[in-house]
Amino acid sequence: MQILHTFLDWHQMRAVLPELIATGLLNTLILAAGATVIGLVVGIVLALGALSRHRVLRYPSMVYLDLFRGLPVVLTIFLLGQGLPFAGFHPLGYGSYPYGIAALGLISAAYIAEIFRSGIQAVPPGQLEAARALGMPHLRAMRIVVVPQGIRNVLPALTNQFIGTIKDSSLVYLLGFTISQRELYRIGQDAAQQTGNLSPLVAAGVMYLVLTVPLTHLVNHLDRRLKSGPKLTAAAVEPEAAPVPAVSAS
Amino acid sequence: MTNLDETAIAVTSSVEIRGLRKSFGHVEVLRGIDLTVSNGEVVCVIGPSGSGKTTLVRCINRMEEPTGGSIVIDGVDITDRKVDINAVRSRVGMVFQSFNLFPHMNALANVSVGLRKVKKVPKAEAERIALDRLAAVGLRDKARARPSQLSGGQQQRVAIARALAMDPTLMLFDEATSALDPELVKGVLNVMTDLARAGMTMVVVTHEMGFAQRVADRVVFMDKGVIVEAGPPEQIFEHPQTPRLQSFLAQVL
Repeated sequence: MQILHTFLDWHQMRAVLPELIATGLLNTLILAAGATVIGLVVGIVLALGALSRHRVLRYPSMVYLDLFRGLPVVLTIFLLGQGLPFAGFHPLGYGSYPYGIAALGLISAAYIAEIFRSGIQAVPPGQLEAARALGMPHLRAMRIVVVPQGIRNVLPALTNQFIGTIKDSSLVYLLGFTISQRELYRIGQDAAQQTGNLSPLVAAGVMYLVLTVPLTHLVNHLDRRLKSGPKLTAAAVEPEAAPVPAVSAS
Repeated sequence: MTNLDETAIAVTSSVEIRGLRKSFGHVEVLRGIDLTVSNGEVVCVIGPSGSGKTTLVRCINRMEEPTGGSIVIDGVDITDRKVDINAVRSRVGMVFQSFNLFPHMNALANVSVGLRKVKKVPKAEAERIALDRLAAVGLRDKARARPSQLSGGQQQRVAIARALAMDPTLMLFDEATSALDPELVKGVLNVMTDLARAGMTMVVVTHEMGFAQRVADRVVFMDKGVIVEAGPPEQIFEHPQTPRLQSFLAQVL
C-alpha cells in the first residue's frame, strides 16, 4: 500500500493535473514543436550541404553533424542556453526560454539532417539523371525530383525524431524557467518535491505517454505503409504541392 | 496507334563524334569512337554487353563526361567546358532502360515538368503540350495515372512523351526495351518507329535486331570500346565482314 500511495496517489495527481495540462503540456509542445521547426529548416540545409559535391559546403556540414550528434544533450543545452548569454551574446534576448528552444532545435537539426541525407541517398540515382537529362540544373533537379521523394521515405524517422525531441525537452528546465514557462517534467518534479510524494511525477509521465505512444504507433503505421509500396496522397501528385522545404533554385 | 507521323519533326540535329574516349578509373570503356549522325538519320548501336554502347550514348548529352575527343552537335562542341550543358540537354531527349519516371508525379506532370521547370512554359500551355505528347504515344487517357499504376511498356511510352515534350532535335535511346516483358516490347518499338518515320535524328542502343533491321538507316556494331563495323542494315545483317560481328550475330539471331 505504501508503494501505491507513493506513486499512484490519485489526490496528488488530481491536484497537479490542471497545471500539467494548462502549463506543462503547452510548454512541452511549444518547446518540441519550435525545436522541430528549427531542426527541419537547419536540417535540410545541413543535409544538402553534407551531400554537396563542393568541399566548402560539405566539410562544415559534416563537422556540425559530428559535433551535435556526438555531445550529450544536457551539455549542449547548457553550453548554448547558458554559455551564450554568459559570454555576452544575447541574440535571443535575456530570457532562457528561447535559448532552450534554439538548443533543442540545433541538436535535432543534426539528427534530422542525417535522416534527410539517408532518405535522399535512398532515391535511385536514375531519378536525378532523368531530371538532369531534361536540362534541369543540379539544385533544381534535387528540389523538384529528388528531395520530395526523399522526404516521403523519411516521414517515419522524422516522427521518431519528434518523439525524441519531446522527451529531450524535459532537460531544458536546467536553464531555469519562470513558473509559467515550466514544462511537464518540471511541474511534476516541483510538485513531487513539495509534497514528498512521487505521484505528480507519475502523472507527468502519463502526459508524456499521451503524446508519445500515439506518435509511436503512427510511426509503425507509416513504416508499414511505406513498405507495402508507395501509395501517394493526392497532394503529392502535383510537384509543387509536395512538401519541399525552402531551398533556393539555381 | 499513335499520331506521331502526322506531326513531322521540323528541326533536327546532326552529331559528329571524333576520337571519343571515356575511362572509368583505369578501365578504358571507349577507345576512340568516330561516328557521324546526319539530320533525321536513325543509327542503331548493337554489340555485346560491356562493349561501351551505353557509355557512348550517355556521352552524347554528357551524362558521362568524356575523357577525350569531341562531340559536335549542330556545329557546337558540347565537350567544351564553356557550353551550357543544360541548354544542350533541354533539346536532346533521352530514354533510359529503367524508364526513370518520377514516381511522385502523375503521367501528365511527368511529361510537363520539363516544360514548366526548364523552359518556364506556363502551366496550362505545358499541360496542353504534355497531353498532346501523351496522345502521340497512345496514352492520353492515362494522364492522371501515376507511374506505379502503369505497366512497364506504358511507363516507357510516358518517358518517351516526357522527352518529346521538350521538342528535342535529337533523341537518345539507351536499351529502351531491355527491361520490358516480351509482350510489352512491341508497343514501345512502334512508338520509336513512328518517331523515326517522322524524321527524328535518333541514336538507339538496342538488342532488338528486328527493329534495327527495319528502322535503322545505319547500324553500328561495337565491341570492346571501338566501332568494329558500320553500315546499312542489309550490309550489317546479311553480309557481316568481320569475324567478331559474324560470331555476335550467330549468337543473337
